[in-house]
Amino acid sequence: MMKAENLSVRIGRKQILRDVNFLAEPGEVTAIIGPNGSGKSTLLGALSGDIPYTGRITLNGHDIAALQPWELAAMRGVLPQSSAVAFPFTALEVVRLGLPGGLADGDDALPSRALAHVDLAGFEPRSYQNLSGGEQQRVQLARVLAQVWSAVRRDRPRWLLLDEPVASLDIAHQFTVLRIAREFADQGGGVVVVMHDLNLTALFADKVCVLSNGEVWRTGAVSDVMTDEVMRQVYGIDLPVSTLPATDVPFVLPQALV
Amino acid sequence: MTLALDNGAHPSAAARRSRAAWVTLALVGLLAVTSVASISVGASEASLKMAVSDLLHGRGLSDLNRIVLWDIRLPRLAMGILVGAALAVSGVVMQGLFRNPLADPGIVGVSAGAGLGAITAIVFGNLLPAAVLAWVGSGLVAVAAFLGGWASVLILYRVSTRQGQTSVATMLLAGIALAALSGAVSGVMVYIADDQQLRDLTFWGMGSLAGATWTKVATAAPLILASILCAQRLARALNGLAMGEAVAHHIGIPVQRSKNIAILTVAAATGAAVAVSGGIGFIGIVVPHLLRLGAGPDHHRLLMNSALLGAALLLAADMIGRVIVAPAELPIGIVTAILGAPVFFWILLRRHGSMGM
Repeated sequence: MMKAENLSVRIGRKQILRDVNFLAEPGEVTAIIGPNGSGKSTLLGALSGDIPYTGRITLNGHDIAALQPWELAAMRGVLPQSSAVAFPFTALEVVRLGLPGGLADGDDALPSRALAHVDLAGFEPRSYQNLSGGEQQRVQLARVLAQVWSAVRRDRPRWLLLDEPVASLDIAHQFTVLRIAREFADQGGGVVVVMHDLNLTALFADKVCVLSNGEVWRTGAVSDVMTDEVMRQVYGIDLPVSTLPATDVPFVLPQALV
Repeated sequence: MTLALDNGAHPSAAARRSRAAWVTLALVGLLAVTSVASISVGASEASLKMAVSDLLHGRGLSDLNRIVLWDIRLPRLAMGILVGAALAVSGVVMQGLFRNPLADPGIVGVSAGAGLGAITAIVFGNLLPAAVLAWVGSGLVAVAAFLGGWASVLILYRVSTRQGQTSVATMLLAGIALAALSGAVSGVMVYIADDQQLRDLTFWGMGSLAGATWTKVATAAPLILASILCAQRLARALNGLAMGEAVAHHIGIPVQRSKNIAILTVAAATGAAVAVSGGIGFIGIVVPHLLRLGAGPDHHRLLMNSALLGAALLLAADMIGRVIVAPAELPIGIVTAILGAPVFFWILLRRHGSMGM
């Protein structure tokens, strides 16, 4: 499991996260939601080992502060919000950078499968810099998948940490990407995903952690967390949460405000 | 079956890799040709054929030509190869470190800093205790150039990089300031210097292989060869850094350590090159750029290919400098600037607007 205890992050003078306790289980998709500036990306950054923090973060029982970068990389892949690539690498080369040996790794089959998985089959020779934002985002996801292709390795779950993976995608590819996350969890891996879209969160997440002003407002199952109260207290709007009759999946309709 | 299908699906990716291998082979050939030409071109008629016959049969060369060949042209050839490779490799590593194809030790003031180190060593070297002087010997200038280069890269990196993002504009401007400062302090040194030192110093402004001796080759070779090997080991880290420091960390690269090694590598290669040949610009920018266009940006190949092309290009520039105003000699730095500056402009124009300047 992935666990953060008493996690605090300070950037300059600003306290971004305060005493956050966070738990994600393998086999589940755990979503982190909250308004702009609530500390979602910072929490994901700390969980990835990118930014300094106080407190303790463990991944499969290991304190991540004690792990070498390559040990961490074998356990978890991270998809940032956007990634510019400095030199004219091809899409295939970007994906191959995720392999344990990087570009020196001779394996082309896995990266090609990863590209096909994100609906970019045939994009191998295309220059990454000339792709659209959404295509670049999916190439990056393919790179992350190539890094942690099997969701379970040596009986230990592996982890996908995704920072707003659907932000620049069209609606069809939003589903493609979230289905990949779902599939990874169903195979026994763990997924932690920062989300803005509450309806997609409700549809794909098992558990939701709501951040507000750098603190955890509430954590729990989708139906327990997605309530009128969260809309009012965290997002500050009076938008009623409804549920579809056939399932328990909650949803919000922005039109209800009009 | 999946494998066969996958490999068949993108022939151009495999083609790109095999093209890189062909490029390496072609570059080895090019370096061999320029080397032979470099030995044969010059005021004396000594040639490689004569040298080989001299080696095999003990005849074919007059005493004068033997000196020309063994004490002038061959050390010059060796130094040209070393310096060209060092400059090109420093260019690649710096560009990878700064995530920017315009970073070059000559343009952003690293060579100037290394030059300042070398000049300081020449002017103030004899103030050192005799024992120290005897111990470091001719290596003093090289070590001082290395330290000057190191300080320059460190300053440049601190100034232009915030949270893993390098600002191109800041980098270039900081480089101008750094070069100006090093130039000014070097100018002061010139006033302090005595006549003999002044003669040594004039040579820095030019950048030339003309002063090549076996001693200089022996001084520069260990530093340059070590930094080329070091750079080769950085290949994966530089590939990762191309996607930013965060992603490099995510895929398992020890970012801070790699950056430190990269800075030391640039300083060692540039410092050694500047110590023996003065400031020669643009090799570090032209060579990697051409190779990225031809065989892709993968640093595993790019570093080795750059070393080869850098060596060949510098030998060619040296020959042009020797021939074009014969019997006088045009400083090689002028030749590389004439060849390289247009490429720099070309990159600027092509990338205009997409570099966040």
